[in-house]
Amino acid sequence: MNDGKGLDHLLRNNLDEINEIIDCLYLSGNTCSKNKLLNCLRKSLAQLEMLIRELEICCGQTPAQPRMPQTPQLPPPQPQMPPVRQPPLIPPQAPLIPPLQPQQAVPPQMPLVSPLFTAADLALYDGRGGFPAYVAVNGTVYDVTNSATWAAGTHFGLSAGRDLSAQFAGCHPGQPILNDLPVAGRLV
Amino acid sequence: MTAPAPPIDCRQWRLRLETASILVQRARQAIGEGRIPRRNLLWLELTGCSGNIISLLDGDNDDLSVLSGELVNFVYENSLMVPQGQFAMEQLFSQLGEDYILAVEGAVATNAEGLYTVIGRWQEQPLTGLEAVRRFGEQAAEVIAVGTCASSGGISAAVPNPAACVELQAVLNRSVIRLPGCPCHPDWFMGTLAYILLYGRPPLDSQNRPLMFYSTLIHDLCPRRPDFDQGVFASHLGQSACMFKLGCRGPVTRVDCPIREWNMRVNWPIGNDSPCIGCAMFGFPDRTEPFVSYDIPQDQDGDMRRKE
Repeated sequence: MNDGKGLDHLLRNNLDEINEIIDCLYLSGNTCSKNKLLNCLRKSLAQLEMLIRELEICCGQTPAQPRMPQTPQLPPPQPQMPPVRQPPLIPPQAPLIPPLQPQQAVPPQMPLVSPLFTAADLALYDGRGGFPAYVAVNGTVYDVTNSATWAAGTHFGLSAGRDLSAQFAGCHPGQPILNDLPVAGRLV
Repeated sequence: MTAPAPPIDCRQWRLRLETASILVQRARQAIGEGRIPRRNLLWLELTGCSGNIISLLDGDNDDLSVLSGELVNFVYENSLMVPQGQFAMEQLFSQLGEDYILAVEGAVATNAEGLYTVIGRWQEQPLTGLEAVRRFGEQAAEVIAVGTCASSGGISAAVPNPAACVELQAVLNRSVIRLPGCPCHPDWFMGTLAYILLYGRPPLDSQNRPLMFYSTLIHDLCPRRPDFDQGVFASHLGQSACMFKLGCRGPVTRVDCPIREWNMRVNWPIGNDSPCIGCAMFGFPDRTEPFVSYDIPQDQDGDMRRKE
């Protein structure tokens, strides 16, 4: 587990990244770019929340419950691109994404307090059965649920829910891919 | 029934769409004016489905009559040529020592010294695909691996691979131009061939794929990218939204299907509400499976779509 000094460094980096994204948002001219930046901002905030929890553990405090993200007070996005096809008529009771049943809102095995994962814990997060898709690389657990290259929780024959340190080192040595992934916790 | 998508009004989009036809027209004109020679083309079908030659028959930039009538001397192609048996083999072997461009589709079976794929008989011996590519591949002016099987093994090399199929480059000691795709789009082959005739080897990426067709990810050209960016995902096939959650391999597949489309630009998989299965990606099909998944992963908050 990181000591306080290391966490402090990570926190500062995270805050710098958030400020850079906000600076870019001011300059962004179209909805597509803004949405991409907002996605990056969401990921950075998730990472910030994880770091805060670690800091609280480090300081001997009981970590607070994960905060639900605030509903942003944004106007509906105004499409500036050429008009796209209208989606097919779907009855209101059958949205594109089926709503979660109340008993499925939070899988019982999801760690609410500690971001530490054992191999058995991590195996649950393979992107199936309602679980997010997590992978571990070099001891850090990353959330790849919304990563473009991890459609359906798989990536070039690899499945989420596993420690892929060796595969990552063999395929992406020296590439800063992990910097863009939200951190979900630590593998112990 | 959904309304058809409006045409893309983008100069770069149009230029990329017309790349193959522009090159083919230039090559036709140059050959007609005698500025460049009309060269010989050999096409070998090895361990595959013959899908790539069938795809070529569906081309319109230009069609087969222009290819064989104006661009090249189409010396050998076992599905299309008139001579049969010994006469076909003689036509093939007449090219040894001559200048020719070799196109190969299908993977190369290597088990049992290649006897899993026999493409003819020569001097009373079976001519395996393995022997044919070695004899004709090493001395060809250019070798083009047409389709995913020839480029990276593809379906022919999928588990359990009893024929020990490998990609074309694995059995040749010279560089091979790769045109992955299942099948290869006729524009990709015609455009590459026309470029070779006009200017020589086209600019290639690190995987020896022509940059003019394989430089961008499907994800970066997809008309449903706004859905992805805004977190609007389809939960079932047939829904007109981003199919990332269903397992779409557009984000990892580098080819220009969104621009070029298929069957003379009638449609393409995403346009038909079906996810990309990554057929032009190295590792297809074993490493791009599952093609469709209905286990939709959640994000950290337990919701399956991002909040607005």
